Amino acid sequence: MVTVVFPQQFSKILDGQLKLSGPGASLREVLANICDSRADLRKLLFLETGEVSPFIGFSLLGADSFYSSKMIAAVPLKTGDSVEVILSMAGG
Amino acid sequence: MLAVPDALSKDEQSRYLRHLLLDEIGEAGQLRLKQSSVLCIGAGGLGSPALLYLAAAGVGRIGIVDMDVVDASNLQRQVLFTTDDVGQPKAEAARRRLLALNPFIQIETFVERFDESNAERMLTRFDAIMDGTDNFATRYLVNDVALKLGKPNFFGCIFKFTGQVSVFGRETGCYRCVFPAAPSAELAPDCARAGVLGVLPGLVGSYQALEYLKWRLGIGTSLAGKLLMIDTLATKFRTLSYARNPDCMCNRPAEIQLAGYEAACASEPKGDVPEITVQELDTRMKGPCDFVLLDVRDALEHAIGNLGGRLVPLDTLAQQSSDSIGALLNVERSQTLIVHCRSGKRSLKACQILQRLGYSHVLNVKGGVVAWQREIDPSLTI
Repeated sequence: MVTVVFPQQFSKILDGQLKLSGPGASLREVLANICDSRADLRKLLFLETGEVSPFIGFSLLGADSFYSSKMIAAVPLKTGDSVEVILSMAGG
Repeated sequence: MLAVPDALSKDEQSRYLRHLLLDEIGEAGQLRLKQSSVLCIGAGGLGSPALLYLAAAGVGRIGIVDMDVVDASNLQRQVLFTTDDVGQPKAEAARRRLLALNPFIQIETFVERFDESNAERMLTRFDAIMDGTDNFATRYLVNDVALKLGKPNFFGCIFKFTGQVSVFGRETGCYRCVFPAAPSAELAPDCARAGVLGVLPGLVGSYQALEYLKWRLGIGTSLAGKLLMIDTLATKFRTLSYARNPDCMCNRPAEIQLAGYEAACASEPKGDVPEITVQELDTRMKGPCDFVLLDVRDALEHAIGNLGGRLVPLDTLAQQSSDSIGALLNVERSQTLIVHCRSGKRSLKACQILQRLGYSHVLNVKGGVVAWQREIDPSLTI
């Protein structure tokens, strides 16, 4: 299992539950599994084409690399890892 | 543009003494700052601290682009301004404040929108750009014009209690390498709607100014290729390294076309919702009352200042069915509904909901109460 930690912006859609766990050999698989019964979340995390939404990035908790949606396949994932979702923001 | 002398005056040596004492800066570094320039897009939450520190540090020429006027609700975080500045153009108020702080620098102001038509012309004359904007369309434009002209982009953004800082460029990766496209409105409300801790832009904007000074002085480790993430509630700072995307346009800057930003970053497709300007609304409000005005902002925003419309927050409206909406509005479906919010985005969504629920005559107020305050009634508090 891998834990995915979402930022505050997802609070409404996740009813405040910002940590979700799911199985998967890759981050894409983990995200897809987490979205299985959450259509609203799937709409935000994935495009209709199946690609990960381009306004989302990821990092492994405890590591210092950022992976954009285009680099998701490069995330080195193993069971027990926690992945943080990083969202772009516009405020200034 | 005035010629920049190649030596510091006695007054400048006195002013910048604490810089001159630093081996990493000294008189040569201070002169480098005096001969440098930066274009700051936005004189708001991020622009305020960034501009103050850049001016105080002696950056010789600073451009400020902002078309807004100072609003009382800005003063909680936009420390460039005072209560006396309310109602004044931000760029001009900023110029007065910065020249009062440091008369040895030049300030150029642009009281206009930074867009595809003027971005290249404005940035050409500056060494670098500082992104202090508050919307995705302008952020992608800032990124692209900086890439096109080969100038560094000192980036900062904020949301509620969190912020991000980076330095984007052709060699180390750009905003599109990190976030190729903008999110939906649901995930990206602006500060006006989501709220923001007043001190947060102070931190993020100061980091932007710091990164600029380090770059211009050639000292320290840059945030180029890195994303600094700040969480003020958790007191956490993380620096993440990002890789340049080989497919990104930053690899082909000569091909960059500055066009289509509003459409690409539009949170919601406009569909066929007709619009009404604030001038047209003003005229209709002075005539026979043949419409219902709805305010779809939150209750607090409505209480602070409103146009006399009925308060129906967007969240409430979004929960209605075709059965329940009648009881909520108590308005015939043939009646004309004129809908406004703060800037026109939430009211657009409200109009689309109302259309789906069978209201055929809905009009969205273009620019919302922000436009009303700017163009009809400056005394309106928002």
